[in-house]
Amino acid sequence: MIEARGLTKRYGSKTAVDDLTFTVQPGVVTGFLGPNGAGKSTTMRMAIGLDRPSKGKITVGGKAYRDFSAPLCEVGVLLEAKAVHTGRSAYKHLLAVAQTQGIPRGRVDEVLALVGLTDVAGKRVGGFSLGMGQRLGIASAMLGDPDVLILDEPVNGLDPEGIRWIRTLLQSLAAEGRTIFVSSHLMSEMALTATHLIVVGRGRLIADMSVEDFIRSASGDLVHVRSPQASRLAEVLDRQENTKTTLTGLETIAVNGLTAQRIGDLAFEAGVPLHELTPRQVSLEDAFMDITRDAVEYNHGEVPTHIPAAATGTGDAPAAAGVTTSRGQA
Amino acid sequence: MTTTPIGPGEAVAPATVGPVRVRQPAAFHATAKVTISRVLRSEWTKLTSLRSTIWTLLAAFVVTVGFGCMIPAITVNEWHSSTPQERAANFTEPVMTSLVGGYFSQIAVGILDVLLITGEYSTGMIRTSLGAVPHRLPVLFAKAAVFGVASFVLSFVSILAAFFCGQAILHQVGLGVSIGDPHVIRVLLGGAFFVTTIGLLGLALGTLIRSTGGSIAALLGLIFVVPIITGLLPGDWGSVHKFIPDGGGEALVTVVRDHDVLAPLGGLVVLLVWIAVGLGAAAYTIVRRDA
Repeated sequence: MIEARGLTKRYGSKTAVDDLTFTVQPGVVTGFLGPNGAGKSTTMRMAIGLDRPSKGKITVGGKAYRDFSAPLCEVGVLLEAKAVHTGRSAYKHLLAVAQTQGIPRGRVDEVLALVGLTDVAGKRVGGFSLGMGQRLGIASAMLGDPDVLILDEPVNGLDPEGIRWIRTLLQSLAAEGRTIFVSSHLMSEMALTATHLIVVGRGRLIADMSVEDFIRSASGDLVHVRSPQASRLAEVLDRQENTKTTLTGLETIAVNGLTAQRIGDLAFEAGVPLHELTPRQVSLEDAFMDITRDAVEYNHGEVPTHIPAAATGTGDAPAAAGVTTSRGQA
Repeated sequence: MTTTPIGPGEAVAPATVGPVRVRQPAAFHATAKVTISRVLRSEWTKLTSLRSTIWTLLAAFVVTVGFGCMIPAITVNEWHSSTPQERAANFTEPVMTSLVGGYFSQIAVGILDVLLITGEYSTGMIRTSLGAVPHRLPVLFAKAAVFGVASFVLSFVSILAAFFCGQAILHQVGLGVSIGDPHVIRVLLGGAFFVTTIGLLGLALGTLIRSTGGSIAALLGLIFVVPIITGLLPGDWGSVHKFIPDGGGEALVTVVRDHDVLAPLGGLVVLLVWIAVGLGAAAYTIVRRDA
């Protein structure tokens, strides 16, 4: 369990983390979401005592990180940048880290096997791909077989296979009862990996809720309905409380406030045939954009959705030119 | 196996958030603990697992011994073509003649010690190191101890080799001294200690400045520029030179004290004070600063 209480970090006049209070529970993967510069990495660095909070505190299992006599056996950490000397082999790197607290050599071999780096254990880390570097970081985090894992952007640079591997690993580690705290700016990835979300923007807490609730809170329950008697169905549905229907085409309606199941039942009772009934969940991505819109640190400016090709002067690539132009104005 | 310890706050974790601790803690958890001797072992692994370290130390050895033989050979050559008056005036420091290579190992060891810490800052390794040892000071002091001992031993061995080779050459014309002669052992040990001091100051500067380039510039400035400046100071101010690292080292390796130089013991104290101040400042910042 990780607990932040009024956690604040200021660099000069800039506040990187602003009065964050949250709890990360064991047994599930908790996603730590936010746009770049939202204070995720700073929060994680404070959790392991690398940065000192300006105010408030963050504890692991009720203890400050520096009070652990064998910290690697309590908290495993993967930091965003490769925190590894590039001139050393993967094996020697892990060995040197393990030796600081008497973690046996055999454990180094175990974690190398766990992340699939056994074959390249003797190679210098400088020659590793980003994906291999991430695997080494996971190995380093798992070295002490800790109860708590703090991982900053672990899927960065991984190929699809690697991403799936890490997703499965994190979920199985959580199922063992460990506390898994994973930061990411990739919402779609978090939707698949995490159960719970802590969302930050500009250093402030924006949301602390389950992934399901997060999506629901942003999207409402939107159901897309197709029927040859669309307008009649709309009348029927409108009689329900807290329901809003919008005709989106000759045969299509968007329904807010009713579940797909309920709409199906109502249509059946009214004798209206249904050709399609699709719950439309806003993607986590959209939900995230929606919720953090005011909290992005570096606003790129609105990208105009349609720019006349003539206006940009480059008829053959209007979309790309449009993006460039709008960024230039931001 | 002991039962899983439950930390404060964990006991009240809601049962709804997944199964709580079906896992046994790893067997090594019982003995795992950060200790000074373990951090020393870790730093030794770090030191010996970088190819650049090994090559630099090897180069320092070869250059020290190489010059330790070459300069005496030149000296012997010069001796043959000198008048008796010249012979009496020059050729008074046979020991130093075979130790000039030490100037190179001083640079090699100094820069290596800088890299020992700035290499960790530039690669991000420092965050792993300080994350594993959150009290931080053991990391700095283990580095200082491991590399201090390593560079002292290596310097002493190479200085010894340079001495024997150089003196054997000087013996051809009867200039050589033997290891049992007065001051000789002190000079050889003093030379090795001076090189070690420069290394430790490199470690301190690297910790304070963190960037490799800046730290190396500062160290070379301290070794080579500061003595020039103190040499230019007028009158009594010139004696400031006695108290800079270069002056302290000079006191340790001088046999014939012909000018304003401290006694060997004084030189040792000067160097020890520099080490203490340097590492003290490094310790203060490494603990205070965000990593």
